[in-house]
Amino acid sequence: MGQAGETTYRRDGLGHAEGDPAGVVLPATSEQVAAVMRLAHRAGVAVMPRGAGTSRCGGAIPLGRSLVIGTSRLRAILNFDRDLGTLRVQTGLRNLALSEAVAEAGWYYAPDPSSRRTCTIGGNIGSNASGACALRHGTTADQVLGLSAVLHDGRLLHLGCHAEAGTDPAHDLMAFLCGSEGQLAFVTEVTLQLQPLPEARLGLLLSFDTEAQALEAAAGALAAGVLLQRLEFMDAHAVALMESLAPSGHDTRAGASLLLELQGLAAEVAADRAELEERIPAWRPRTWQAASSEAAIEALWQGRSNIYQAVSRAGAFECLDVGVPLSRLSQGLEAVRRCAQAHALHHAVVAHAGDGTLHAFIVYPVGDPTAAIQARTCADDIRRACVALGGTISSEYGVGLARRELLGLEFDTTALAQQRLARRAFVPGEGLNPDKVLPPEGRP
Amino acid sequence: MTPTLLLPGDETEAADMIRASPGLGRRLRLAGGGTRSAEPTAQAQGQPNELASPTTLSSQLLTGVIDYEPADFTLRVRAGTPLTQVNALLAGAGQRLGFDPTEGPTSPGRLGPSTVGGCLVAGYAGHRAVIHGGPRRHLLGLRLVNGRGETLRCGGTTLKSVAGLPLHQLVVGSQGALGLVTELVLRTQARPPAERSLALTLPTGAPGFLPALMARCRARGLRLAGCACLDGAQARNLGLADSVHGALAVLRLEGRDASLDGQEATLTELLTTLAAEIPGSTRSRSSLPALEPLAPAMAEQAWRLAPAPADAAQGGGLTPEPLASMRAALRRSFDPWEVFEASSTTARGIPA
Repeated sequence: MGQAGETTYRRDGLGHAEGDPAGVVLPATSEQVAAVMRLAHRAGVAVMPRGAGTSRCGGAIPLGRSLVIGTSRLRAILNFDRDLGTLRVQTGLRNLALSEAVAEAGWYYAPDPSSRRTCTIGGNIGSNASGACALRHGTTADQVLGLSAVLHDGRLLHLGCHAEAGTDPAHDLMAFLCGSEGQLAFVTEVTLQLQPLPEARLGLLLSFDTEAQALEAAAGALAAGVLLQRLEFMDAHAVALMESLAPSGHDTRAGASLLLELQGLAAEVAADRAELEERIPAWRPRTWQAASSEAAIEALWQGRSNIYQAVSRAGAFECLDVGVPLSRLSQGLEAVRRCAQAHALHHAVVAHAGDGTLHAFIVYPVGDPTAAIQARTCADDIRRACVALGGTISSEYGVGLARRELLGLEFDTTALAQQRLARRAFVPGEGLNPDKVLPPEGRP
Repeated sequence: MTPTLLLPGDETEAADMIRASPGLGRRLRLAGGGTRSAEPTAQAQGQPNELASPTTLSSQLLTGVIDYEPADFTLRVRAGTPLTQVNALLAGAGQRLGFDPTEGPTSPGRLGPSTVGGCLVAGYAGHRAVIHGGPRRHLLGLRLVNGRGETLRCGGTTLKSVAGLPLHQLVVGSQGALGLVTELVLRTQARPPAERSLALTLPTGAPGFLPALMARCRARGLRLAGCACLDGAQARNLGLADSVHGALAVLRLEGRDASLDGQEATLTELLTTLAAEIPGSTRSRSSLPALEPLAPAMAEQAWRLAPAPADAAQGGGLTPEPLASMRAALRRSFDPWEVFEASSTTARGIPA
């Protein structure tokens, strides 16, 4: 392994921690993955599945001298049913490549984590990834119709529509694998449900004097039952950063922005548009604009789509993916503000206002290790505050290595012990992706 | 005499009953309302022989809504709450469950009304699952008492959570093998303002017609909110179209009033194209005044997106053996002393 390669496989998107891989193997088929895992099992070497390494919580950092099994050569499209809208692929394929492969036939793959240009579908399955579109189409787990996975000892498992006809399709185990962060098995192939490219779209960008008004409008749009594809909230700090990178029509003097998108048949979008336009005056926006063409809608999303890049121009940052009940979004925002102020750090927030995910950015000066530690402490304070609001430490990124110690905020010792026991039904020892997700025994 | 039907009044009592069971040599069959149970329950049988029939532990008295804030689009409810009560509560706030479970059929094991917990554990969904997904998609988290008598939380409480291993997903369709579910957190959704249902006579001799129509609708983005195929006898029993010789498809559209004509026009266009392609197919259409009486029959016949299962060559790997042993190990992880006896079920509809 060359120096550069070695560094790549030691780290992931978490940035501040690194592992110590025993080596790296890049198999090209399920059978090769199985052969490697069989050998590793016999030799008593732990293995760790790795996709593109975009995890923001250390999910792809190899621990316990694990052998890294990368998916960079597992990139084949195995079957595309263009009539039914299903796609069977190897799991090293990038999320965005799925949509690119099926677009000419009128389909796309819905889950849209912000790393979709680089992250792999295998990693998406591991973290049950999703983005703004989860509001309409659900998470990765909701798209999986079948999968094939290699167990820690090299045995292959075929679930859902990958199971042989007449055998147990085990939809329960399939769902359990989605979001298990590579703790149970190595998923090598998956069949996904696709969505049809919409006949009509509508983008709406609204600016409000206050965050409360923006959240009230978001709640109003949800209650209206319109075919929302995405519903995004951005605070004034996020708007300022986004507009300085990629002007997208936000009112930079406003207190908050709301960006929403409808998709459906032309008749549905027209009816929903009429409904929303009737409601908008009561929401008292400072300004608002609508866009119907694909180009105009994408232009409205320009800033939001590049939020990570926009924030990185202000400094280094910790990014959170906390979740709260929708009716407590304003309290979640308040918690972010309070914690950032307590640590004298800058912040910016974008939120999936349809599912309660708050992406709070805690910004600190590049190359300042003390501030970096402070930002991480601040982020943990926010996670605690959100759990106290009835929320979660993670709606999207997962637990990985970095949030293990916080899992006890959500689950007591008994619940964690049950998770550990259920995992042992798949992996009796520590042969697969050790020292992740579940805190060490005896420590909640 | 050991009671044969146990009805704990709260979670603690349920845990005590479960913890006491190994010592009493007692096995428990878990139930909600028993409406989907294929086996007679203790009570229904009269004076059962305990060895022949295990004691039934039902969540029927664990009722009530714990937390429902419509703006959250989540509902936290005790597992024994009757479905009808849940549906009425949500309807009052202009919402509904996404997986439209219907009241269970009359079954040998019936104890009372269908419960919301029972639907989840039986993995039961109705015909709306075609666009909204089955119970898995709508279950956010739960609490259960495992075979050790431990009460634990599985999954989350918010609309999206990926913290920890998703144990709650194992419970959907588990038929009571893992533990007594005491509470559920479910996703709710806004009730569409309008709906329209259409009956479509399908020609005999064109079995591929309906699957083809469903695929076309999907590809076109027409969201059929329900689709079921009833044979001639079923259609006649429901008082529909006594002249039906072939099968009857029931299709449901929903959305804003102003969009339904457009949706129906798209459906008509797809039907016309398809009728021209499939030789010998004829069709007729009529509006149905209300779909609800059909719901149970529709659920039995509901359509779901299902690519062809793998054949042995494509599967290329091992067969059920590892799966069976893993299932057994998983079950032991929840219930090491085999306190629970999974019930078989009469539930039909969308598989979990």
